[in-house]
This record gives sequence, structure tokens and C-alpha cells, in this order.
Amino acid sequence: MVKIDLFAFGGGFASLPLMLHEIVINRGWLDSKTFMDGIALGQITPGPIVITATFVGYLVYGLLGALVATIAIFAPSFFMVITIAPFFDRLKNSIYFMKAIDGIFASFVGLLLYVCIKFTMGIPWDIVRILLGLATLAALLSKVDILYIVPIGAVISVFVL
Amino acid sequence: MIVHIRELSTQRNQWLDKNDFKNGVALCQSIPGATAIQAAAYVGQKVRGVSGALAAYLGFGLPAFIFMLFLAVLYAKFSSLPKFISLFNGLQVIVVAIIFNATYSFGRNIANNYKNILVALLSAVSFWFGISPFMVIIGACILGMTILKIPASSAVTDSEPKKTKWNAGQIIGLLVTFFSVLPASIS
Repeated sequence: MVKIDLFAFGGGFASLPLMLHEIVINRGWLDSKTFMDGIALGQITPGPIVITATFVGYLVYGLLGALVATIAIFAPSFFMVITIAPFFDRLKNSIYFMKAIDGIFASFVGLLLYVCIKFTMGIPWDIVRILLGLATLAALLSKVDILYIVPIGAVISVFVL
Repeated sequence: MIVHIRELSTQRNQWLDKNDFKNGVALCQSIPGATAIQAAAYVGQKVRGVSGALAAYLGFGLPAFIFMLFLAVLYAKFSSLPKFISLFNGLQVIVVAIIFNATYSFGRNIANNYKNILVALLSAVSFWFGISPFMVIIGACILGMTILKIPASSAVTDSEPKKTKWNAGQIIGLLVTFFSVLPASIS
């Protein structure tokens, strides 16, 4: 978890490929399906998506696991802010720093693309699921707030799936 | 989320001015970690130093933690009920759509020249072949430093460095506590 946060440049979604790799592929703590359920819950909660760590921790090791996982995933970025903040003005003007950040962001687009494909392959698609997925995508693209999309989608799923 | 923090800290409470806040968000976006909660910590630090940052961080993280813990407990208890299964079948589809959307909006802003697209594709392919994403990121960092051109806008100097309190003692103290309390999580 510490490792995930340390490398999750650029916010919550950047941590997805890393979580997938560490939790599902590398350590086998959860299977891909349960992990996706956790991500779904992470979307409902009013916080960053890395809060999924709490879910993973709880399922693997109960209450203690949840606590350890949460602190572990949040602590590094906290130290990052308080240690780097005073130097940021200088860092921002370093060409090499900006180039490195640019490269990292570009690689995240690729990594996320892989997560998309992997998750898509994990779903047993049928006509209802395809329609639901397309409807969600359309709603997202027309900038409907995620806080409405998830509960509405959840209600629909209970009745049709 | 960020908009909310901005309103709270620059308008309702006047903790810091808008420029300072913008600077903070830029910082939080370019260092690893979840951006919103880091922005909260940044505001806390500007106002009250390290203890302010810690308070803001906890205040921001705790509700999410408790809520998620509650959901995880429910999930562990009820995940075999048929209604529950159909709920999560649907949520999975929604999550895939959300990730697709995130990839798209991320990609549109970042993969806008052929070198960036090349880095993105290389990353996807290497992850596909089982290379650890941590290695991919380090590789992209090095590749970025060597081949990418810097966008003109970000190279401009606009703000003069301001002095921020940097309490080395407190930070080191917190670090030591962290690593001694959580040895299990490091491995």
C-alpha cells in the first residue's frame, strides 16, 4: 500500500493499475471480481478512490487490516505534501522535473488503458450489461455528476440483472 | 471535490488567497497521491504548519474511512445474497464505464502529441506482458526526461518563492512514528 501511494502520481485513478497489480496479480489477496466490487464501493464513498484500500484490508485481515491498509496508503502522500510544499516553486521551474512528470502522466494513460481492457474482459457481457455500460458512459461524457450516476445505476441493476 | 475545498478555504474562511491555493493544487497534482486530500493537507499546512496539515488530513480521510469500513462489513456479510450479487454485477459495469471515461479524459489532455502517445502505448504493452507498473512508471520517468519536449506554458516563471514554515523536527518525528508503528505494512 505504501508503494502504491508513492507511485500514484496525479490523483486517484493513477493508483488503479498499481492496486490491480499489487493486490490481484502479485499478492493474490483478492480475485479480480471482488477487487472490482471494492472499486465500485470506492466510487460511492465521498472520498478518494484509494479508500478501496480500506475494503481490501478489511476483507483480508478484518478491522486491523482495514486500519493498517488505510494508514499505509494515505501516509506517504501526506509526508509528500508537507515535505515538498516549501520547495515546489523551485521544482516547478526545473525542466527535468516537468519532463519526468509528463512522461509519467503519459504512461498512466497506457496503464489505465490496460486496466480498462482487463476489467472489460472480466465481465460476462450480455445485452442488459452492454446497454447499462453505454448509458453510464453517455452520462459521464455529458458530465452528469458521478454521485448521481452510481446510485441510479445501482437501483437499476438490482431490478434488471 | 477540489472546488469545494477552494470555496471553503479561500472564500468562506479566508485561510489563504486564491493564488496560493492554485499553487497548492498544482503541487498536489504533480506529486503522487490522491489530489483532493493532499490539497486539504496543503491548506492545513499553510494555516497552522504541520499540525494543521495533520488535522486537515485526518478530517478529510476519517469520514471516508468509516463509511468504507461500514460498506466492507456489509459486503463481507451479505455478498452471497442474490439481490446483492445483481447489484454488484451492475456496479461492475458502471465502474468499467467510469474507468473508460477517466482514461479518455486523461488521455485527451495528455496524449496529445506522438511522443506522449508512444510512451502511453509502450506502457500499456509492457504492463500487458507482466512488467510491474512500478517499473513502467520509473521507465516512463526516465524516458520523459530524455525524449519529451516541455510544453511552453509550464516553463514560465510566474510566482516568486515564498517562505513556508518547514518544521524538519516535526516531520521527522512523524515519519519515525509512522515507520515504527506500521512495520507490517511496508513489506
